[in-house]
Formats: sequence, C-alpha cells, structure tokens
Amino acid sequence: MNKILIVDDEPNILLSLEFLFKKEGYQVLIARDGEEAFEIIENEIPELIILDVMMPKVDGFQVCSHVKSHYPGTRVIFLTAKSKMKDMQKGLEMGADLFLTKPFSTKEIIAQVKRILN
Amino acid sequence: MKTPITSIRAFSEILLDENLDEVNKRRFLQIIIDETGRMSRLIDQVLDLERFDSGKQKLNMTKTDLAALVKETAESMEQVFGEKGLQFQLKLSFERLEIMVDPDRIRQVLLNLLSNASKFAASKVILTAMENEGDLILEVQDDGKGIPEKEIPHIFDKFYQAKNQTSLKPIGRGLGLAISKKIVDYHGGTVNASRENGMTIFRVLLPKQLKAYLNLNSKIAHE
Repeated sequence: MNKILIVDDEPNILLSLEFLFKKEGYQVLIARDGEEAFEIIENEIPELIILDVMMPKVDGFQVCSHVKSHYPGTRVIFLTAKSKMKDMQKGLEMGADLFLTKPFSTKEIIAQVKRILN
Repeated sequence: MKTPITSIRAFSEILLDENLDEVNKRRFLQIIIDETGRMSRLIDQVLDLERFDSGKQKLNMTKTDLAALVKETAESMEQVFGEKGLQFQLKLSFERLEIMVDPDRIRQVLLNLLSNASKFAASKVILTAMENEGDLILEVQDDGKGIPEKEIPHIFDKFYQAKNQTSLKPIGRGLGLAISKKIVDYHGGTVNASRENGMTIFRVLLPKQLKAYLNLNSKIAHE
C-alpha cells in the first residue's frame, strides 16, 4: 500500500484529501505545517507528498528542498493557491513532480497521484 | 479567499461522486455551509474596504460613552483570552467619556486589535483607555514577538502580507487592520503601531466631537 503524506494547515482541506485517498486505498499521513511534515517524513518516508506552499513555521518550498535532497525517491505534488508562473517555476525547479492550484478537481488530483505513483 | 472555495469545491465533488453514509453526508454538508460563511465574511471585508476607499462608506455618528463601550468590548473578549491562557488587563482611567463616534465601528476597531493581540501575545494583553483633553486614547499591548520593524509602515495596507516575499503564512488576511485604519481615519483620528519595552503597542487616538465632524465632512467633500 502506497504511503501518501498530505501537508496543509487548513483542517478542511486535509480532511477532504484524507477522505479521498483513503477511499482509493492509500495509507494517508497528515501534517499541519512544515515542521510536522519533517518529523513524519523522517519516520515514515512516504512515497508521495501533497504539499501546500504557504504554511506557518516552515513553508512548502523548504519541505520540498529537504525531501529532494534526502529522499530523492519521494515524489512531490505542490497543491497551492499560489498560481503565479514564478511560483510554479520555483516549485518545479526544486524537483517537484507536479504543481496543482487550488481550488482543485478531486478527480484530477486522484488521477495525477495514480499516474505519478505508477 | 481561495481556501474556503477549495474546501467547498472538494466536498461538493465528494458528495456528488461518492456513496456516503448519512453521517458523513451531513458532516460534509455542514463543512460546506461553514466555509460559505467564512467566504461571505471575507467578501464583506473586501467590500467594506472598497466602500471606505471610494468614500461611499457612511458612519452613524452618535454621542457614545466610550467607558461603557470599552468595558463591554473587553468583556466580550475575556473568554477568548481565557481559552488561550492569556492574562488580560483592562486599565480604564475615566468613568465616563462621551464623544461623537460610530459605536459599532469603534467596537469593530477595538475587537480587531484585541483579536490580533490574542493571536500574537506570548502571555498577556493589556488594554488601556485614557483621556487627553477630551480626546480618547486606546492602547492595545501584547508581549508577543512583535512586528519586524521594517514591516511596521506596511501593516495597515490591505493585503500587506502579499507584498511579503516569504511563503511563510502570516496569521489573518491583512484586511482587519486596513479596515480599522480607515474607520479611525474617517473619525478624524490616528492609529499607529510601535514596539516599546518588549511590548507591541497599537495606539488609537479619537478626537473630540467637533474635530471629528470637521474631518469627516471635509473628507466627504473631497472624495
């Protein structure tokens, strides 16, 4: 069973993604900010991380750069309200596999996760 | 604004696509309703600010006892401070002070400053109300980390966080203080922020009746 970590500081967004991916049969881990994400990544090494950018304490870009340098096998999808070209470029340059913007389509995010993990 | 829309869309799609039991159905519908309310409040703030910016906002100026208004507002926040384990102190240096203000709007300013303080304070918040030759001075102090000095000139700008190059999320959306400043401006008063003796201080000065009216009328006449 693939392990997915979802990192977002909005409880309702976490809840919706957790519900969707559990239903798809994934093992879902949750972090509410970058700091929590670091701990979980260290202990669980998820196959894929769905990552918000704007978060308190440690932001998504910092998490991505840490993941890509320590766990190159872990795939990263940015899921963020930031939709400027320069943010997307920054995310992709950091090695993220995909940059999705909020509000997202539930069907699309499921399809993209399946595609990236296969 | 995208945050509530994101939840509303996600849960609407889940409700549409998935076979949910009654409990989850109701739970997710409630989230949609709550997020709609949150979005509606955000839109209200944006519109409010726009009315102030365009000079279309009207104030309901009423002779108001500020001692009573400050006390009531402070009391309404006591629970919030209590829940956060913060010590809250009200220092009111007059028993009665009547000036012409829009009481709902001044309450809004005070609530905004107290609510910000409750988010940033480390252990205590102090609200001081003083009279200076008939003018009213309100100070909200908290012992939080404070605002970085270079940001102080921008904190009353709307969406000032957007100018911030960091991706670290600030608390709030940057509209509350912008609206508070507009309200105080409309009253012919001033609001500023400073850092003194380890405390972050927001200081509001509301002038006596006559000055307020003059400023308000000249403002409207010019806009």
